[in-house]
Amino acid sequence: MTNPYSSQLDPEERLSRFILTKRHFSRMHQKVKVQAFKPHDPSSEHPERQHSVYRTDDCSEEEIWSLGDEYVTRLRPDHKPILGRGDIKCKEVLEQDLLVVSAPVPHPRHANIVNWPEDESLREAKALELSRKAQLHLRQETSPGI
Amino acid sequence: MKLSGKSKTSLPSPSGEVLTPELDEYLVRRRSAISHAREPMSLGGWKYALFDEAREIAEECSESGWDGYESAPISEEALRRSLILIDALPDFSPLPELVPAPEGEIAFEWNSDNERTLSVTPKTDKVVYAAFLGVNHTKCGKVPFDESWPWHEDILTILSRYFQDDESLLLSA
Repeated sequence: MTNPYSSQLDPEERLSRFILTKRHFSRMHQKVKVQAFKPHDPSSEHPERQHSVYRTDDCSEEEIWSLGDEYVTRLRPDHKPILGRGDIKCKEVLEQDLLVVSAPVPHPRHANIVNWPEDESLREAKALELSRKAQLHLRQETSPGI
Repeated sequence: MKLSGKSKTSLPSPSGEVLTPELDEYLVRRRSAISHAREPMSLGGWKYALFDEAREIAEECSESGWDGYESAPISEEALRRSLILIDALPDFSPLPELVPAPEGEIAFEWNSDNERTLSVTPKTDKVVYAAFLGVNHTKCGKVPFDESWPWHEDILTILSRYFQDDESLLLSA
C-alpha cells in the first residue's frame, strides 16, 4: 500500500492533474489534451520547470475533488472551479525520463513533475505521451455546454 | 490577412528543396479548393470559425494563470501567429482543435480515431511539433516560423500521410 505522505513515490501510485479550463480536454475523444501536461516556463518564483499534480491513491472520488476545491480553486483569487482531471500512474511519468518529487505545500499530497528537458520539442513530445496515458475524469456537475 | 500564395505547379520549400512527390501531388490536387476557404460557413468557410475561436481563446486567456496554475497570458502577437497559421492551413488539412498553451501561445492539435495525435505549438521564431503515429512511431522537432510559408513541409507531410483521411477529422459542410 502506498503512503501518500511519504517523500518516496511508488511507481504504481496515481497522480491527478486538475484541469480548470474546458480547452484542455476533449469530450468527443474523452481525452486530456497535450497542453494540459506541458510545464510552464521557469519564473523567478519557480526557476525550475515543474508541473503540479496530486497523489490521489486511496482517495475516494469525493476526496479527490475536495483536494482540488480546497487546494487549487480556493487558493486562487478568482476561485476558478475544477472541471475535470487527468489521472496517470507515477511510472508513466518516470517512463518519460521525468521525475516526480513530493512538494507538500500546500498539501502533503502535492507533488511536482520535474526534470523537463531544455529542448522544446522534447517537452512537447513528453507532454503528448503523458496526455495519451492519462485517464480523463470529468466532474459530474460540469456544464453540458463545456 | 492575405492568403498564402501558392501556384498550381510544384513549389520549392523555403530551403530551396523540392517538396516530396507525395506532398507535392497532394498540394496540386487540392489547390483548386483553396479559394473556397473564405466562403460562408454554409459553403465550407471553415477558416472563419477557426479565426473566431482563436480570438475567443486569446480573450479568455489574456491574463496569467488562465489554466489555474502559472500559465502565461496569450499576447496579441501570439494570436497573430495563430491567425497566420490558420489562414495558411492547406485545404486538405483536417480540422484542428485550437488549444491554449501554458507558455502563452495558441497550439493546434489533431486527434484521429486510431489514436494518432499531432500537437503543434507556434513560437516567436519557430514552430514546435510532436506526434504519436503508432506504436514505436513518434516524431518531434522544431522548424523555423516563416510568415511567407507558415506550415513547414515536415508538419504538412505528417498531416497528409497520417491524418488526412481520418473520417473523424473531415470538415463538415
